[in-house]
Amino acid sequence: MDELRGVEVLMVDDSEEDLQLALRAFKKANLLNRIHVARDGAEALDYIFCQGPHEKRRIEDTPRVILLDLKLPKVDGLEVLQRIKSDPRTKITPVVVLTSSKEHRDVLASYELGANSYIVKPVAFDGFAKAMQELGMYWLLLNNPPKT
Amino acid sequence: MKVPLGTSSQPPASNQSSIRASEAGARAASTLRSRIPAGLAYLLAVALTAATVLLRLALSSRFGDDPALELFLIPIILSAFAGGPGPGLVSTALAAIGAEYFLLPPKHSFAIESGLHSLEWLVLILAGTLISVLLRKSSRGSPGAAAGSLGNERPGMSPGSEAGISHTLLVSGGSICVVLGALTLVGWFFYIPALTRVGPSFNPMVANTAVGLFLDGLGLLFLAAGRPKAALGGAVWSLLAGILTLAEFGFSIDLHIDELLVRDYLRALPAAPGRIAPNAAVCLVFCGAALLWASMPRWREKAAVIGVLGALVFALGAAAVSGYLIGLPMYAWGTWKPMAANAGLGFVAMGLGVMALAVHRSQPTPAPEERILQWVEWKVRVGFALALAVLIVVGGMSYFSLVRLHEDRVWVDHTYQVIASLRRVLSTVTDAEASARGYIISGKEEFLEPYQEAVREANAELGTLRSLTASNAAQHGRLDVLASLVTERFAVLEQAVEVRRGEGFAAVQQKVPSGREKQLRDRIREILAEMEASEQSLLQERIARSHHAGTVARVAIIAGITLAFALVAVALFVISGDFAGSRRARAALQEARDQLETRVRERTAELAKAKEAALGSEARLAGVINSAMDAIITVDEQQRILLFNPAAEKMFGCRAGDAIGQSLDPFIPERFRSAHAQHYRAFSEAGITQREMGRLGSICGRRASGEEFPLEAAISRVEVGGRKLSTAILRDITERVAAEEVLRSSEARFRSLIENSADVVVVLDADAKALYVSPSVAHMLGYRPEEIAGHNALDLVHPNEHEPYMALMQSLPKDARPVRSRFRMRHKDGSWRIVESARSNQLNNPDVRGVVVNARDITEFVSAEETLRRQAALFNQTYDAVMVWNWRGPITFWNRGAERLYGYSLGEVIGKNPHQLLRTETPGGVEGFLSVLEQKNTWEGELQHVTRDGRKIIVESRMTLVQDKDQVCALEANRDITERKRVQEKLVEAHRTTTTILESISDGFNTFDREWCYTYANAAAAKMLGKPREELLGKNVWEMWPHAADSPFGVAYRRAVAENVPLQVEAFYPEPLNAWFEVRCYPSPEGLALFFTDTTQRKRAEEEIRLLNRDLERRVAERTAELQAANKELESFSYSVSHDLRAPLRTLDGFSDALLEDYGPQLPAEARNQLATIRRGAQRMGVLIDDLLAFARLGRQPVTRQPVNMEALVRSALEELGPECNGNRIQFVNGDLPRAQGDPALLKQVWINLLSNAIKYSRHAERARIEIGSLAGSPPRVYFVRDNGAGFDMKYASKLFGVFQRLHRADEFEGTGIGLAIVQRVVQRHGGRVWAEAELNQGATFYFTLEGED
Repeated sequence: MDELRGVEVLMVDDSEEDLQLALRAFKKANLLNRIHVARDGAEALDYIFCQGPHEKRRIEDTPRVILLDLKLPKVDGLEVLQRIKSDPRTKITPVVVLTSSKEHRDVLASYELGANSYIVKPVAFDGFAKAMQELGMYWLLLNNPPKT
Repeated sequence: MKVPLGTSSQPPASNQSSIRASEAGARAASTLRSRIPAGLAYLLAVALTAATVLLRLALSSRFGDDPALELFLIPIILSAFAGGPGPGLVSTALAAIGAEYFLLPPKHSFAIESGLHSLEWLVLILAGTLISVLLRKSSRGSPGAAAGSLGNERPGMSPGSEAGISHTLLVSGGSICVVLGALTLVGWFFYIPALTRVGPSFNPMVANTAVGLFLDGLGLLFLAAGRPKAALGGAVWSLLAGILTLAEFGFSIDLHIDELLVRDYLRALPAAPGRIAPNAAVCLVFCGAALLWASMPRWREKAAVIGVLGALVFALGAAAVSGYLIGLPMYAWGTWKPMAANAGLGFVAMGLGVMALAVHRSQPTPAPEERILQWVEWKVRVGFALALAVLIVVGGMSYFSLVRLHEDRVWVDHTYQVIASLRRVLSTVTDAEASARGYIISGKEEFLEPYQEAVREANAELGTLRSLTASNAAQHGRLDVLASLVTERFAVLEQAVEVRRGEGFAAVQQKVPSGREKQLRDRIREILAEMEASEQSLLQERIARSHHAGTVARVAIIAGITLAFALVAVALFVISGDFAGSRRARAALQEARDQLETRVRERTAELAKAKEAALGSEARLAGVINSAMDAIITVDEQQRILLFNPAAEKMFGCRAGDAIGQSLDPFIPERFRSAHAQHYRAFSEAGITQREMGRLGSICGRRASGEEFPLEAAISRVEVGGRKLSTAILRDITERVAAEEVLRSSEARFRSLIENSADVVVVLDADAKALYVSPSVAHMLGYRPEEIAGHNALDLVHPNEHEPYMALMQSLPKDARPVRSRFRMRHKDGSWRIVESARSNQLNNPDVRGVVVNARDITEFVSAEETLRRQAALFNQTYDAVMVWNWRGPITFWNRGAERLYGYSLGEVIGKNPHQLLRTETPGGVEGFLSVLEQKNTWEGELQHVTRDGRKIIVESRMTLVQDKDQVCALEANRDITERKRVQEKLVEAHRTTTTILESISDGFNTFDREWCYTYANAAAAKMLGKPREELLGKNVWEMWPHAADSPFGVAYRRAVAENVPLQVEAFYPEPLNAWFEVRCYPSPEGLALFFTDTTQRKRAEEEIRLLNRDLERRVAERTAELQAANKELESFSYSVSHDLRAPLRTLDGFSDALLEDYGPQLPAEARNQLATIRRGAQRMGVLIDDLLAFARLGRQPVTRQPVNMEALVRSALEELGPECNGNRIQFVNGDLPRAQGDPALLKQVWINLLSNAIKYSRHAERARIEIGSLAGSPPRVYFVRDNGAGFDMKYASKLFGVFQRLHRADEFEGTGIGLAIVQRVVQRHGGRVWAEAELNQGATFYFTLEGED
């Protein structure tokens, strides 16, 4: 059903645990938006560019925000980011890099490729939940997305 | 010199003719101007221009908006032509004003509106001015000068090149016409339409025109061949055909001449088949007239008429041709028949030919200046004719384009009318419908009136449309449909009206079919739209066409006017040069005439002077004769005396009265009388005087007393009035002859005296010319006296002595005192003799009048004396010391060289023993060389002498024994060689030193001569080369070292010698030396010198170092690579730590939290505590990882050094630590913190870590006190942080800075143990040191420096 109505959040993360924690955090923050999950970079690209199993999806129905981990199987998160931001149809979609890495070069590379935000997943769940909550509030409720 | 007066009164023949020619030119130049009075010319200009303005205004309807200013060129040209520049310019000005006021928009105003018209106006003004000026120039050579004769017009005989050109034009024009005409006629007669016209879509040239062209062409050829009568046929045909055709057109009659020769089977224009076009007819008339004119002997003189006719024909033909070329109907006059294109071409050729004929006619007799004028005139005529023709063509083009524009405009208006009418039809139909509907609905009668009105209007409009579209069949068809539709529509309406009127509104709805109504309305609209669309497309088409026509016309007009101007300008520039030439020629002629007149005047004056002189001389002669000292007697042929002057009376003792009229005989001694008579005859016949009246000076006369006397006579003869008179001038020389006799006898005596003297006596004049030479000169110089007499004495004097000789001659004393001198003179055999002479100046002595020289040969005497003196001088001049001493006795001779060398003068040494005086020393002793001298009579060797001033000198001495009479003498010549000896010794010394040095140096040194043989080798060389020196010397280097020749050594040696440059070479020499040598070679004229060193050891060391270096580099590279790999590994390690290790921790923490949250209430308290512990552990692990990563990052981060304000850094660190400071509990003591060099971000981290440590560990202190400062003293600067907190035991100090090393338990003081490790790493990376001093529970002090301790 998500396919047809369009999702509001696309979450790209290979870690099952992190995903569950994130969903939990969203739920705790009463953000009950439609969320699509991609488990690796290739899957994320298929979804975003309506390829393979997502052929029927309309590319115009972009998610309101993409939460992107950097360390991903198959296709690297930075590459996914680069593909999103270099395609005129998808480049206006906000991408929030959500990763464990605090490495300066990752931050720099992400912003250079056009990431809209860079958030380090805190180890402690309180912090993580807080971060997810703030993130959701901002991107899904406060931010005024560009109309496509 | 006599002046030939007879010829000077007439100028030379050539001058005469030039003058005549120039007069003719001047006359010709004034002809044109004198033809029309100036006032009349101006009146004409004004009248013509005004007429043109009026004409143009009258034609306004024709021209519309086009100003058509070209019209005004006609009055301007005419005025300028008739009256010169003044009227031309007046006409230009008037035309400009009139055109601006009446024609250029805005009309009737002098305002100027920019645009194409204003440009046209400017062009008109420029053109008018140019034409006026140009005609002023050309009026100097006027057409009036064209008067020529027809007599000399055979082809090829014409004088100038213009004749050649005109003849060519004439012949080629005629030939073209003949060919064109003939071809066309062939086409007509043999049914070949292609020959009669240019192309299938063109009109053919009709047969009558073809005949005309053919005959006229023939006529031109006949005229060119000088047979004018034969041209009459063509002329007559052309005139007849042309005039009759014009009459046919003019009076609309048919004279049945059109198809006289052939039926016009082509019938291109059926109106009048075979008829000549009116413009072609006019051309034919002009051609005929021109030919007739040229054929008539009486009219021939007026060649200008022929030229004008030719120009007109050319213009008409050219207009037709250009009309065809650019698509304007200039080939036809109105709707009349057009001229055929080939006929146009024919008339162009014909026109050119006729113009050439005009020039050909007017060939003048070949007078040079007239020829120039003719040539100029020809050019002017051609230039203007062409310009005029072009202007006519342009005029035609603009006329036709205007006509077309006008037509197009009419059409456009028409189209607009049609469209308006169509719209009106629609609106009236609509009106009718509306009114009818109004009536039907309301039933009010007042609606019926507008309805009927609209119906009427619609029908009327349809009628208008019908008339407007009469010429358009398609529109007409549509109109028919429309009319029927409209009629039907009205019928329907009518029906509805009727029904409404009769049966009411309901009936209308019932009975009248509303569907049909709508159908009709749509159909009408459709048709109207269709018609309007058709009209619109027509309109577009017409506008486009008119635009195109306008563009073509504009381009053609501008191009044509430009061409005309160019032609006129070219003509102007060409002829202005000719005029300059003509002016120059006239000026030269004038000058020549002036000179001639001057000469005539001069000659006349001379003649007058000569006459005057002749008159004066007669009177003077009489006076001279009477007062002459000599007797003058004139006799006639019969020897009768005619003149006998007073001196003659006195000489002959006879009065003139008695002598005159008598014979001369009484005055001639009897014995000479017959001879004299004979002589006189011979003289009077041949003018030859024979002296037969005795020897010179002894002609004798006879006095009346009978006494004879010697006389001198000069006789001259004149012829006066046919009589031959002889005049004798006679002088009595009796006394002179007597004196000469006495002198002669005395001279003979003296002469014999002189001639017998041994000395030579010569008399010279002032210039040294020998007047007399005594015979004894033969003994002295070998010449006979007569060979010398009369010649200049200087010829015999030695050339070197010419100057002193002449100087002597000039300076001889006036008082005849003798002066002695000695000169060399040339003997006849070529030898030089020394002659001593005494000469005295007797120039002023009237008896001598010369310089008397008494000369004697002293050659023998002089040469003996000279030899002696020269030898002595030679001895004295030599630098060598020369002395002569008697054998074992005293010195007898001592020359100047000896004086100089030894310092003793001659006086001091004479009589002294030389060996004692000079203290002679020699290795063998004095006796030694004396005994050798005695035995061999000669000795050579070195001696040591002591000079007068005590100096020891070495001399090279030569001694010879000479037997002089009874005495034996020694001649000793000595040369000082002291200096030479000294230098030699020095050289030897220097050589010895050099050798010593060379032997002692450790480098090898040797030399080669030019043959590459060893000449020297030092000990080191011998050692290095491994051969004893004796073995080397004299050996050839290439033989001794066979490998050397091709080695770098050999190459360098040869190059050094060849190029004469020092070179250095280092190379290896193989067996038997097996060594490296570094050799420096220095070439010199003697050969080559080498310095060389055995560098084998050095080379080996270098090689070793090189190998070591290479190894080292390789190892460094290896290490670097290893290090880089390790770094890389570390980096990826820390990256995966950063990323991967944190995720499971997050899972741990997150799910523990979830468990607590979801199932917390169900869990026992202990389980909840345990879960909380798990979470704490996971979080602590997260902090550890972050710290570890931060620490690792420090190692990679580069340190940037810059000046750092440490106090500011500490302040900002404390600010950041603010929350940990717990208010005022801690007392901070800030000491002096000097600036440092370092990375500010890293140093701040150091301060933060140290301060936070201090804060943390002084947490439990009662009064926490943290001191920050630096130690005073020598560098390196030591900074410290001191607290009074927990401190630590110094025995653990070594663990203090290790990673994760802690000295306190976590429950006492939290922390990961990374802070001090970071401090240490930063300090170390700055090159500094960190250490701590502490005591348990007494606080700790951390010190650090930022630079090395040295």
